[in-house]
Amino acid sequence: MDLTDIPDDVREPNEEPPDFTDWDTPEEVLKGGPTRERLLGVILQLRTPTKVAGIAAQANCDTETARDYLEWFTSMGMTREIPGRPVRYERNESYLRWRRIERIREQYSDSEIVEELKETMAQLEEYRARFDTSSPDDVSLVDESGESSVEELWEAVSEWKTLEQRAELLDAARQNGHPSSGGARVDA
Amino acid sequence: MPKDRSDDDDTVAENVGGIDTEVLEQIGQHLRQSHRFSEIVFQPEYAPSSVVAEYDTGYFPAAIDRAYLQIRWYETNDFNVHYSEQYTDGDQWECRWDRHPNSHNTHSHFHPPPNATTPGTDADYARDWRDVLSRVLEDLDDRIKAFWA
Repeated sequence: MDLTDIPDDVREPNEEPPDFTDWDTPEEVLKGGPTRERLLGVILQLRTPTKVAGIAAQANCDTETARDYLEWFTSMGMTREIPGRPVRYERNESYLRWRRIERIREQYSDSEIVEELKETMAQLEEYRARFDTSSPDDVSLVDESGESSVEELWEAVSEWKTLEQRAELLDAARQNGHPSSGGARVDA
Repeated sequence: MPKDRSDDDDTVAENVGGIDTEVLEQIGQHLRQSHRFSEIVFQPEYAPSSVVAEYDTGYFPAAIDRAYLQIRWYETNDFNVHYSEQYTDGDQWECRWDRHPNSHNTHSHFHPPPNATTPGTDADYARDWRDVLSRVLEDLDDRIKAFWA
């Protein structure tokens, strides 16, 4: 079925069409904006070291401009420079992790963080019990019994990994909030 | 951090990753700038791994109550983009763009409307989330405009 196959009776005869002139093209919405924003959209996808020319092409700017911004992003901690010829860049996971922890501490009180961590740990426990293993990496996406599809297992393992990250960030946020408390550590 | 999984064995859980919050945030910030949407909800309670973009119903016939895009993006560059139209008579019209390990299609595939039926059709999507979503929004723009053609 084509996405533009519209049933005849959806629209009442007296309905006036809306004005679409406010709509930017999808390309403008997602890839437009100032150079800085376009580059940000690209550098947050740099999971492996990437050459400046490649980054510039993706962000639709010239190489020199990209180089200047990448030096700036690197000085801010957003990207990491991999020295060599040519120099390459990747997103700086440790900075992004720190930023996430700061956000959690801005967003929640200490007791809310502990509560949230407990809930996340309980969800993790359910996954461990369901798959009878402590690590999502041990799960095979092919269920020999045929009860679960690859797709269902993929979704469960992704969710499990998301929860693991969440627990790790919450635990770090909790500890940063109490640098000298020495309280009992919740095992993540 | 998991590698980009395009060349890896589809059925090994080590190649599965969690949600990429950075990319999800970028998606939300860009979609917020579009008049197509009345509201962008980042990681709502009912879908904590997603960003949900609510279409402005002013662009739809009155028979449609709600239309939204729910987007999930993973560290492996796998994704789900789910579009749903909810009708006042209780009907729904849905489709889904997907890239993830799968037993009935290739890694990238499309679950066609009106019910996002499985199995879907094999597809080939770009790596960059901006290209993937441009294509989705273009298809949906065509649909929304077709209501008025």
